[in-house]
This record gives sequence, structure tokens and C-alpha cells, in this order.
Amino acid sequence: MTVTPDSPSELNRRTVLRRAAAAGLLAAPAISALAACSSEDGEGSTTGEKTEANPFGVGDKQPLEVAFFNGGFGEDYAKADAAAYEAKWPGSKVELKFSKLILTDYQPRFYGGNPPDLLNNSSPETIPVGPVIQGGQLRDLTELLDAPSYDDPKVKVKDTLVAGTVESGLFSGKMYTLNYAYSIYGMWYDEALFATKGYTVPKNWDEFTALAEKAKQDKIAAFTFQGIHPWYLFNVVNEFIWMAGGLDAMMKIDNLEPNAWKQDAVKVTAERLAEMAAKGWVQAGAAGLDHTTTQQAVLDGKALFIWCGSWLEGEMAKTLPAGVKLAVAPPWNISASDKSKYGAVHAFPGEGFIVPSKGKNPAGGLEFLRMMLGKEQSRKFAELTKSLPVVKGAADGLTISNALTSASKVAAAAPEVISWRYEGWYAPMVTAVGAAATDLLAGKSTPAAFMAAAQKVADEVAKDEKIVKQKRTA
Amino acid sequence: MRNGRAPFIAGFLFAPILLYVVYVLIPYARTAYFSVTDFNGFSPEYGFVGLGNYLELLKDEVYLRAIGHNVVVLTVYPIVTILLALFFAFMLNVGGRGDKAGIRGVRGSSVYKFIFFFPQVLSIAIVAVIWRRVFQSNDGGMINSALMALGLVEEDKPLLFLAESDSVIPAIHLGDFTLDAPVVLICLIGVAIWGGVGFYLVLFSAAMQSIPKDIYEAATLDGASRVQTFFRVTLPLLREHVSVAWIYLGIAALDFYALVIGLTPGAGGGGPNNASEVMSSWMLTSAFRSSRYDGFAFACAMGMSIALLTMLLAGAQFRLTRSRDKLEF
Repeated sequence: MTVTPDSPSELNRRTVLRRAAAAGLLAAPAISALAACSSEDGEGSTTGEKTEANPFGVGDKQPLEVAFFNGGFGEDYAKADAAAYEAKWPGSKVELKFSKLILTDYQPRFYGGNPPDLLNNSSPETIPVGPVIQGGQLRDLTELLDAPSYDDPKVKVKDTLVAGTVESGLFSGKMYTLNYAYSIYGMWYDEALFATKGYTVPKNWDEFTALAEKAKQDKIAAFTFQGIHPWYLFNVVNEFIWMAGGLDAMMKIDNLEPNAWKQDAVKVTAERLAEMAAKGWVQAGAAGLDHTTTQQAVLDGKALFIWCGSWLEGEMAKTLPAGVKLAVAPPWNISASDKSKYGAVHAFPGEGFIVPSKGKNPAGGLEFLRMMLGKEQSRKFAELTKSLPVVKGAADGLTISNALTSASKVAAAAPEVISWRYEGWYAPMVTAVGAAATDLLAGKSTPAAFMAAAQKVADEVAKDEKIVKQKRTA
Repeated sequence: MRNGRAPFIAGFLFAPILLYVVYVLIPYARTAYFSVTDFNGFSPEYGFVGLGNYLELLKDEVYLRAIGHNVVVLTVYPIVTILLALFFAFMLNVGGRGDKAGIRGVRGSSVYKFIFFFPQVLSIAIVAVIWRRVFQSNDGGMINSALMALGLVEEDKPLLFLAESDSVIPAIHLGDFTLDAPVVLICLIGVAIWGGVGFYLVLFSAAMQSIPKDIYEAATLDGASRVQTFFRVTLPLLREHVSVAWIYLGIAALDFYALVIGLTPGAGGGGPNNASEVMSSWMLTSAFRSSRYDGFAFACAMGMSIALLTMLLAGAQFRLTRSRDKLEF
């Protein structure tokens, strides 16, 4: 589920309030202990002069407390960042902390008014930004966006970020979260297989048709999907709808407009899926197979494309045959009248960072982030985690992973970012659309039945007073 | 003496009763209470809504279809399991050839007993892994590969089994209620029977061994065939055990949760397209995967209705099978 910035999760808010009460008892002794040690090391001045090289006025020899989530990205990149910060600000000791559950570990610190200076707000449970912002506890990161970038004072930080980063961190129109990692979703394929067979990646439906027929003669299925996990196919449906109808079509769906699932963009999407099944381009039996089996089919050259996220290479690392070069392609156009240009990609920045305003050294927190967004540190991140940061071109020229290189190319070339919101808002629709689409690709349904099934659930959700409605405006 | 015994007994009962109260009675009571509120599972603030959740249950198409699936399971699973277990138990204990003196099972019956009982010792997770492989919908699946080798199934059209939503009977619609029996559900029942026969076989075996051999010998001397012996001697004397098995299986049929979660497609199982949804799996989905703010309370109402149906069933069973005169031997 995606957490959309303009829909603060009610559950999280309440959970945090409840925990606040519970944690209050424990927090007080910890605060006094921390207060005791901090009074000893404050040597330099708390604030420095704001200059082009020091836009936030970081004080001289100010200690900095930074808390990272220790999850899929590991600890290494955080350690590299901390070392770089200490090198730039000699005498400023970085106190680096790691946590597996940010909410549990750091909620009492917010409650006690003694938060760290920079917090990697990611993990299975995160600090819900809504209530914390209302309490005035978070720094508006607009000043970071407008600051000169770490490497080139003439370029602002926000101009070094890939499209969608700012939007993904907005809350009530202001950016409080900087999402640092960039996941790319799309059609994954084996570049090596394409090279040996002389296939080319299709840009439109005609090219896909030609490729699929050619592959069929070579006894390769052009497409497969993670059958028993309909969420993957749900994404394909949305990407196709976006290609056909663009943002307008998706807004109608997100906003539960009447007959949103009867519009042309949906119709052509459903027809294309049905066509793929009818013409035998889909891996046989895929509807009953799981994600590893179908993903392995692509690695083994039994299928050409599978939709997935940029974690694919890591997920399949153990069974990745030598010689396979995984790469990602954006969804191809599906009709001649498509509203969206080829290259649009579904990507979602995640791994948020927040700067608490009541920390001892918030300027240092901002500076630490600015440095992380610099060329050197963002490249370090790509190298160490084999994932993309939100910094443009951070992984350019990196050859450690073909999948990473390809994902960064696709992201850089994207004219627009595909996004939908209803996935996080209305869970029953995700289930229904995924199931109806699976029926289509299993050849058991018709485009009309797909549209009717999706529209029915959309209408039910719209009608259900017990589901809180959200509005998408952009 | 009396005074000494009461604390002694209470001391022994205290721990189990405490555990029962804390882990069974209180959760039941809480569930019943939440089912008439709009509790969301997280917030301590919630309101009383009366029987609204229960009325909505009657309009929830998926829930009504899930009840239909439970009805199918309830009809097929206990009957087939009991018949198979009875047949096997009979063959293993008294079905041996009559060419020698004495009553015994077929040759190698101890080996068969072990084989039949084996699924019972496997955890449900292992059962799920095994049967996923058996039903896998490509040439890697056991059944599909066998059928493909025999030329009965084309390689590009494997059978979907657990992803097959086609009903084996024509679906019956009554208002919002649907009764259908999708292939995936039949597959699950097959797995359940495979896993259950062994246990009831052992149960019936033990019962049969307690039937005096001379009754069988008398029947054999009178020239009764194996079939006649089974229906005239064995079955009437096993009445009580069959009735117990019936209730156990009935309750298991109203649950069926683990198999649905372990084997069927979709987040939380129940797929494809709700074709294998049973009451318990839909309850879990409603509690944690619905977007209604009171999803948890709604699921509590569902849980109460399942409990009610289970109790009604058990009550009916007890009434129907209330023992007539018990035969002493």
C-alpha cells in the first residue's frame, strides 16, 4: 500500500497517540539522561553564518544525531554518509543510530521534545507525519529544495531531483518528507536474450504484436505475470490505462467518477489484455503460478516480459542464470490514439527522511540531507545498495548491475511519471481489478465483463458511507 | 478431608480455567461486544451501532457466496471422508480373505495404516507446499505433467486447478446468495479428504478392534459376505464413532481457513475472484484488508455468525445422532 502524502492515515495517527500515552512514562528518565550528556559537548557555536557553501548556517563543531532505518538498504551507506559529513565539518561528531522500528524507537523522542536531528522515517512502522506537523515538530524542507546544491551553487537542490520526488513528500502542500530511494516499475526482460534472438523492445502495440508473433514461433511467450498474486497485474492494468488515457483518465478512476471504468482508456486496456490471452502470447498456466515461478520463466527465456519493480534482480539473485542481463522497459503504447507518450514510467520515491524542528542541530540535519543528495554520496548509495536514489543521474556509468543501469536510464528518459492514488485509498478496488484482469489474461473473461466488474466495485466503494473518500487534484 | 480436597482440586483447576477464561471466554465476549460497535481495531474510541453490522452481512455478496462454499464443503467433505475411512478401516481389520480361519485385515494392513495416517503428521504448511506442486498449472505440476505425457492435456493449455473458478455444478442464485462449487474448492476438499482419512481410519480401526471377534465369526459361519458383514455388523456397532467423526468433520468444514490461505490465489487467499472464499477467510480479509473504517467490527459480526452456525450445526448433529440403546459387549 502506498501512503499518499495528502491522506494521513487515521489509524497511524491514533496508534501514535495511544503509544504516546503509553510511552510517556518511559520517556521522562531518558530525556534527563540525554540532557545530562548533551550539556557537556556543546563547544562550538550552535549556528554559523549562512553562506552559499553553508546555506543553513551549520554551527562550528556541532554534534549531530542521525537515525537510520536498518532495513533492505543496510547500514553501509549511512556509515559512508556520516564519515563524509565528519570529513566536511571536522569536529562535528555524527552520532549514528540504527533502528528496525522507527515508530517504536523514536516516537517517545518526539513526545519528549528531544528528537534526533535527522530521521530516516522508514520501516514497517513509521512516524505519521500528519500529527507531528500539526504539533510544529517538523522542518518544512522547502528551504532544502531552494538551497544551492552540494556540488554546484548555481543549481538548486530541487533541480537535481527526479520528477515526482517533491510531490511524493508533500503534506498539505508543503514538503516535509524527502524520499531518498527511487523504485522503478515496468516491463522486465532479459537483454541478452533479446540480443541473441534479434528482438527489439516494443514502443507501441504494433511492434509488440510483431514481437509477440515472432516469439511465439520461437516457442517463447511474449508476456507472463505473477498469477496468484494479482497485485502485479493490477499495476499493468493501471499503466496501460495511463498510456491510453493519461492523467485525465486516471483522475476519473481515482476520484470514483461515475462510469470511470467504462471510458475508452479502460476499454482499450481490457481489449489488449484479452487479445494477449486470445492470441496465445501469455505464458501457459501463468494464472495459477506464483511470482518466483513466473519471474524465473523470464530468466530462463521462456517468457519475454514480466511486470515488476526494481527489486527484481535482488529477489531472483539466487537463481539468476549467468549471462542473463535483466533490464526494464517502460510500458509500450497500446493504441494509436494514446494520450501518453512512450517512455512514461511508473516510479515511486520511498525511504523518507524528515528533519525534526526541535532537534538540537536541525541545520546540521538539513546539511546532512543536502550532502546525501550530492553527487558523491548519492552515487555511493547506488553502489552500496544497488538501488537508485532520487538524484538525477546518480547511477550514470555505474556498471555494477545491469538492472540498475537500465532502471536509471528509463527514469532519466521518462517524460512523465505514471501514478494512481486509489490503490492506497480503496483496497477492495485493488482486489477486484486484479482478479478481473487475471480472468482476462487466463482467457476466461471478456473486456465487457472486466469493465463491468471494476465499475461495480467502484460504484460500491463510492456508495459505501463507511469508506472515507479522498480527492485527487493533480 | 473434604476441606483438604477443595483447595487441592481448585489448585489444579485454577490454571486451566484461568487460561480458558483469558484466551477463550474473554476474546469471545470482546468479539461479541465489538460486533455491535464501529470499532476499527486500533482506536480506543468507538460508538455503538446496534445490529447494523449483522444486517449488512445479509447484503455482503461475497460473504453469502462464502457461506455457499461452506455448505458445499459441509456436504461433500464429511461424507466422503467417513465413507473412505470406514471402508479402509474395515478392509484393514476384518476385510481379509476368508480362506483361512480367523478374522483379520488385508495383507500388509499395518503398512497401509502407516501410509494413510501419514498426512495427519504433516503440518498444514507442508501440505500446502506439496499440493501446490501437485496442482501447479504448468508442465512442472505433477498432475499436469502426467496428463501431458498421456496426451490428455495440451502443453499450452494446462489445467489451472487452484486457479480455476469454473463451477462444477450450475451456479444457483437466490437473491444475493450464490451456491456454486468452483474447481478450486473441489481441489481443496480433495486435499482435506487426503489429510483427514487417516485420522478417522485410526479412530474407526480402534473401534472395530473392540468389537468382539466372535460376532464376526458367527456372521461368517452363517455365510455372510464382506459387504453384508460391513452393513449388518460393523456399521451399526460403530454408530457412536461415526457420529463423533461427523461432528468433528462438520466443524472442520465450517472452518477450512488454513487450506484456503495456504493454497489459493490472491492476497489472503480465497481467489481466484473469491471462488474459494469461505466464511473464515472472508472474515480475515474483511477485518484487515477492507477500506471501511469499521472493518474490524464488521468482521467481528461475521465471526459471531460463524460461531452461531457452528453451534447450530453441532446441536443438530447431536440431536440427530442421539444414541438409541447402547449396545453392550
